[in-house]
Amino acid sequence: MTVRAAPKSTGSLSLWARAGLALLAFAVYAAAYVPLYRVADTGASALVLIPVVITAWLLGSWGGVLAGLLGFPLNAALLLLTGERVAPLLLDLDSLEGPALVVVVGAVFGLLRDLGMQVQAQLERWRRATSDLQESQDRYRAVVEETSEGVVLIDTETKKIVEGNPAFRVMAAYGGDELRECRLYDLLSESRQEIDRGIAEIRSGKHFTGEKRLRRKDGSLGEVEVAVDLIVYGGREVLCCVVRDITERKRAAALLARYTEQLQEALAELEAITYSVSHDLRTPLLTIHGFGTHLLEGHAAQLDDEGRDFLNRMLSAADRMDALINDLLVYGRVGRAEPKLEPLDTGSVITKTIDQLEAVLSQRGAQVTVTKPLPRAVADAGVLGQVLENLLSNAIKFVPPDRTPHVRVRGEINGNRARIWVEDNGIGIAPEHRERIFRVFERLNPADAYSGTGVGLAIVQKGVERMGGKVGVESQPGKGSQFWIELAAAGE
Amino acid sequence: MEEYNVRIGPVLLVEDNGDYALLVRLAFKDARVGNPLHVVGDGEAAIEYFTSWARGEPMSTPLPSLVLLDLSLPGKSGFDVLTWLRSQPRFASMPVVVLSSSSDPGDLERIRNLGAEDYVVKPTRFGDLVTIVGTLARTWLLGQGPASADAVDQA
Repeated sequence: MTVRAAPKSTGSLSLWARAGLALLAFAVYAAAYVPLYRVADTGASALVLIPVVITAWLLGSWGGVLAGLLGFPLNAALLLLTGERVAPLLLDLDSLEGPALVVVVGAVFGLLRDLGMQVQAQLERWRRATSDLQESQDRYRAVVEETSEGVVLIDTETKKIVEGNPAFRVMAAYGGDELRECRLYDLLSESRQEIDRGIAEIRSGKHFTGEKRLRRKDGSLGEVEVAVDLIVYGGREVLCCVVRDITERKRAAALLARYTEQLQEALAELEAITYSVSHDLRTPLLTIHGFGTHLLEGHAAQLDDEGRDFLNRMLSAADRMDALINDLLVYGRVGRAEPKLEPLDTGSVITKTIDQLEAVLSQRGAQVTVTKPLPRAVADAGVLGQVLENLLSNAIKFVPPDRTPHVRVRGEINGNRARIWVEDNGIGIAPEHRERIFRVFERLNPADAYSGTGVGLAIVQKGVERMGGKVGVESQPGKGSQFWIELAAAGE
Repeated sequence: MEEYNVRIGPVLLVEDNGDYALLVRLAFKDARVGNPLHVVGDGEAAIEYFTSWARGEPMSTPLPSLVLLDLSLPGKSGFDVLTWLRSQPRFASMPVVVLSSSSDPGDLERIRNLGAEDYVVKPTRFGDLVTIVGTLARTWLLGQGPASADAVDQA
């Protein structure tokens, strides 16, 4: 809002300045009186009206009256200065009309001045109000004119376009005034009946928001999103439509959907190939392992210690490869198969998993403590078994050889999420590695120190994700790791 | 250990991989399965073996007591051989155990529907192969039936 300068008038001077000016006018009059008397005789007294009028103009009606009342004794005093012998109480007019006239003139001029000030103030107020209104209208107009949203007003009776902002004209490819010649029927791809029905619905008080196809001037169609409200504009009932061009957005979305589909197809194909290749890779393993075993057992006499060592290394490499391929197959299967989610007792799944791992656990002398009851969760029994199996074997794998692996399994419920913790007393994981360990083939430790394929925790992550859950780990190097998986809790 | 020879007919192995066939032979020895092992290299040869027996040449092609059938064979696949066998009334009750490197649940379903007695995923360790061969022999050659078949399902 602009700050207006105060009007240039007497009102802008302070009261004391104005009083000073009035006194100055009287002083000038008093000083000029004696010379004037010599020229005009007592007629000079009438000139007291000049300072009185000036005072009235400066100070308003009350100032004028006061000045008029002062004028009479002043004139009397000034007459005495001239040595005039006339009775001092009378002016030269020989009556009371003289002093009364001065007071009246002062009062009238003062009143006129006050009135003038008020009229001026009122005019100023009106002017200000009008310009405020104009400014606010300008602001709204600017918003409508400058916005990138199309705004178009349509008469509900005639269906004619009342107004359309520049953004809308660009969308519909219409020139300045051409739009006013249009009717709503020209702008939409729908039939007249459909349009009339839509308008009737909006007039019955239904707000409309949705997508429409806009027919441009050249007949081409664009995709738009429209919000329609009923308003009164210039005494007419009109549809106020806010229109957004979503043609590009729709095209981009369609493109994205197509790319995503292609990508998924390519991924599925790749997974299928990995799966079948993994199978084919297993066949030669039996050959290597089978003949290696026979060589070692049946032909040991022909080999020296070095030869047997080489053979043992080959056999353990075949074992590692076997484990790796198996893990990859499980990883592929967990990623491909659609999980059958159902409410499960996770406690019975963990019991089964521990039974299956019996051989591995006892070979390492590991102890597993399960704190029952474990929560019920929504999961796929097979996938959850794979996840827990990999968590358990991971828990006993990264324990220094001179330490007895001790694994604790416990559960907790947080709201509608069930969490299962698998805690070990292994070597732990530094914070900076906690994201990496869930990726395929990520290994933090040299192969000789701790055997692992680098796939186990990736299976955990993939399996839990497929069941709509989350995985995580808390750990301090040297103080063991606490892995958790979180699934949707199932009611009792 | 006693040798198993209640059903003394040969075991017919349909397998195109010579290494694998030799390993199965070695496993027969280690598992002390006394039945002779005949190996044919593809589906055509397997069908030819049976038709030859049917023509009355039991000396060169004795009727098997058990068929071990690989799925992925050149030419006619294991599925084709199984389908053909079950379509012949004479061989409809011949015990067939499928050996495969695939553990695809879809394949398993198809094999069961085609009427195979059992399905074994090929192991990658020789010791496992010996165990499997021993179990198969006890089940199908000693006539103990598929009660112990669980031990065979090593995926």
